[in-house]
Amino acid sequence: MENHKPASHRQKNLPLPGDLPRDQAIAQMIRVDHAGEYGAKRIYQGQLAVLERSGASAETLAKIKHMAEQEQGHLDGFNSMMAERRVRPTVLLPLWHVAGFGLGAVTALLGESAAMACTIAVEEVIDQHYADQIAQLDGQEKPLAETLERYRLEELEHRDEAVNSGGRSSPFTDAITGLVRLGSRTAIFLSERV
Amino acid sequence: MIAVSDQVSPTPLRDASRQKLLTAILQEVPFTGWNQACLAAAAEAVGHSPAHAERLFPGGVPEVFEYWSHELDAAMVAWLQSPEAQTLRTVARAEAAILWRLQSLTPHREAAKLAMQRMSFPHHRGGTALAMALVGRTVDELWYGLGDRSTDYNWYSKRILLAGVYLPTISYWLSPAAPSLADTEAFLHRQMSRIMSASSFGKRIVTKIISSLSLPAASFKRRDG
Repeated sequence: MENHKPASHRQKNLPLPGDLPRDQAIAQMIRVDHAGEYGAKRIYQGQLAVLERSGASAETLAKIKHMAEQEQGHLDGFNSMMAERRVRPTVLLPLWHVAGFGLGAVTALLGESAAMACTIAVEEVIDQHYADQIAQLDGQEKPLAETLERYRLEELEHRDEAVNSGGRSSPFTDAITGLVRLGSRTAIFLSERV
Repeated sequence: MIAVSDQVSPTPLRDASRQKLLTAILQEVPFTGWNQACLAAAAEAVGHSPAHAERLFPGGVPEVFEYWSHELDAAMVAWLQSPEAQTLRTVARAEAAILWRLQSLTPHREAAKLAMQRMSFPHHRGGTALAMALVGRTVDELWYGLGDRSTDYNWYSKRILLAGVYLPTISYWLSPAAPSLADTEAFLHRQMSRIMSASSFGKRIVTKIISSLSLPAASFKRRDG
């Protein structure tokens, strides 16, 4: 089925019957973003847990640690937004706790460049996701949109760093990209709903 | 036909005429039960036609439940911030807040009992689903008022535990034996102690699970050190 929104409404981004009320839509955004940053933090923790032992270079470790710190910063941002706006976390948080760490650890076990391929795939999905949300806000909630844009640019930095660290040269790149993309999108879909 | 959402609206209109009508409804309920006739009678009691009730509560009885519960929530949260409540520690403060709610419900005990009966039917609008939504909101307000800002699974466990104290307590207080407030307080205290010991037991288990999940990382660390 094609998009049912009439052209005029679609262009002006006006609410249609069936759309969530604005505060609920924003609560949903914050909930899914919180889950995403939580998962991202766990992925980097999983990568670090393996790479710290497998003799990865200090440079690589420092890079991943820096990324993990930035994800923690984003997570803190969403934590305070949730408290302020009374948004409940997703029910699936314990699942992302395990799945995120597992994804990070497994890709790191396949090698440093496989871990970087995973980072690229995740950050690309997140970049697209934040861009969609900013478009959806459409000039409303300025501070929120600006925060999302700042986070989005940092996520893109992570992707670029991962590309420079050989993320596209792993023999597993294609497989990881496909699986992680699918996984991340599923996670977004689920966290938005429950 | 006007569609009425089953969902609890996030910010109910809290205007004086609704409050006035609610007071009249609560006086009427013990004689009529919770129904549209009761709402109409209450509207007449405050000097209006029955349409007045339909205008203020277009969702009928379920909407009155919603409004009443939200009013009590707001009053309870305001009480939580009072100097009297501020001196108490969290658990005692939660207990005191629940008791305070029952105390302010005392004049309308019969109406509350009938409301509870009606909301115990799962099959109609304003039944169990509404009761769950209202209890959920009440414990959420309570935790937020107590200063809880958790954003992980604790958000759920805390609310579930508190609902597990609040629901039995209010059911006990409204039970046919009509226990006094002092008896209810003792009951409430017992429930709270039960939950507190259960939750520390649960926490120990959860900590165990989590520590065993990150075991690979932990064992690596040990080798390093």
